[in-house]
Amino acid sequence: MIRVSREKKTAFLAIPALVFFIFFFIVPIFTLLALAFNPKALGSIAIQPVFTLDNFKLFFSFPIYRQSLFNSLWLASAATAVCLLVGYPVAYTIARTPSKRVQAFLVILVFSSMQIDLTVRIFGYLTILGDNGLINGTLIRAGILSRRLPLMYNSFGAIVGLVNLSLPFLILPLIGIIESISPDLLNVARLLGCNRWKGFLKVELPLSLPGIITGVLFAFAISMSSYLIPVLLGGWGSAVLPVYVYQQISNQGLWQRGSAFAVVLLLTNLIVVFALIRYYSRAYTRRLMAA
Amino acid sequence: MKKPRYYKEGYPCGFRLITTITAAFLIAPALVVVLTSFNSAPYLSFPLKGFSVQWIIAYLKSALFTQSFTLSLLLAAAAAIGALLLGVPAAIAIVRVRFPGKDLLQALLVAPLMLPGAVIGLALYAYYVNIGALMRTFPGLLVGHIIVAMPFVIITVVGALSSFDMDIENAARTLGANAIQAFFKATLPNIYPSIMVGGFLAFIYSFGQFAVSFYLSTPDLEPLPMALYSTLRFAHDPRVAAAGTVAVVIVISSMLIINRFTDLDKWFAGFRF
Repeated sequence: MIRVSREKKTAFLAIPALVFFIFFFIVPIFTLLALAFNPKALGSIAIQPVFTLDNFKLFFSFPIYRQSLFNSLWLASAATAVCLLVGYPVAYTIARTPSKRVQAFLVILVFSSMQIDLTVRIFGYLTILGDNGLINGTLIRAGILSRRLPLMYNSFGAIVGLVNLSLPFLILPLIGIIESISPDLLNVARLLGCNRWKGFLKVELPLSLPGIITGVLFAFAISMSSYLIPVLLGGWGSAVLPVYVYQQISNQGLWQRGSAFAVVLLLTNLIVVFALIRYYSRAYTRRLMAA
Repeated sequence: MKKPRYYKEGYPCGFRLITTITAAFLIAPALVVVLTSFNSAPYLSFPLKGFSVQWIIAYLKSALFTQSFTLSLLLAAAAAIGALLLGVPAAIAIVRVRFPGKDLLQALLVAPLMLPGAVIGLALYAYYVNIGALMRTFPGLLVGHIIVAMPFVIITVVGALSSFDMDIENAARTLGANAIQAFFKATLPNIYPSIMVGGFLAFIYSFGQFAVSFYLSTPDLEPLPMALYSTLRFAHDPRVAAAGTVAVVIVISSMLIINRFTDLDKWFAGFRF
């Protein structure tokens, strides 16, 4: 009896955060939404009581804007795929290594790379990937290459940067989930005739699906939203949507258009996130039904 | 305890190689930055021209450090404290109580991590202008940072609380503690590493946060990442590398300290969508 009443009271603990988020997250997002449906007004951010679809029509009628949305999607998808391919083995190694030292070293490395200032990391990549950078400079001086490899100001540079940015967010949620899968299951699989790879594919990989989904969601959403990396490492050939949001607002002073572009970005993100979660929960239910 | 046999057989083949390469890939930019900052030439060149601390000193004397670094430090500390004060109670409510919309609340508090930071900043700026308050002020910037830092507190504390054994707190209650005493004397000592880690992650994330500051900062209220970006946009400046080295040292040393009193690999463990 005591616990029930206590439980109800505990719910009030969520109120400060909820109120804060309503006032400084939900209402601002709706402000942005309202602004996106306002007719353009140079230099003004005040909400007008007139609503129109003009900004969205403009977005979808210009090929460069549509192309930027496509660029965003393709760069984010490619970066997420690379993240998953290289991130899973890293998470696996961290989770399963018998050495506490190796584990601590790798986790600190992953965490540090996530927390080191993005501008600083980009500066590092400019030095490594640039035309006279570490890779090109070394290879040319060693006589292996005669011409410079185009490593930067293209999709390659952008993807390298995006993978560096979002990889830790994919690895970290995976570690805990892989750890929670009992190695005994693998031994059972072996008794049933699976080799190491087959055991991994049939037992561990499916069981770690929740972690994969969480990680993929993070990686995709984070790559999709990045402004700095596509601009500094990707160059204009792969101008992404956030670039045009900035351009509309800061260069042209058209807040309504910028907001509309931002809403397109937001909606694309939300659609992908929801699609993934739905697909996942459906696949999961199907597996449970089969079992 | 004897390890299960499969451990000894290691990983599926190729995993170790991929891990080594990825680790090198992750750390390479930071390493290059540190090397550049100690090189006597303004560019990184191999072999290194010579060891010099001139860029570090130039950085420590510049406005980048005296103004932006201090501002970022203050901002990040305030954001972490704010996120903890709001986030920890919310996480407790999310884990302990069943109420309608609880999953929605958790999704809401984690959502900023999955939305473009610049869009959050832009939305806040538009909101500030329309209510006629907070724009171009420190509190206005701080609010944005608390919002984007919150997910880290929620993820770590919800994770820790979900795997916390409630019997410990119940035992305390059986022994006569009231609900509040039981929480502070039995539960809190067990989960405080996660709370600290959450606060620490919030701090560091806010410290390196570029996107949300993008529309909220002004030239005289410019956090370090923004200032570095402005510097980097116009010229290759080795002071940026020096700033990076200072940041790298701060991040890695605090990681090592945190590692002393908590299991790093458990940080995200209990969290599920």
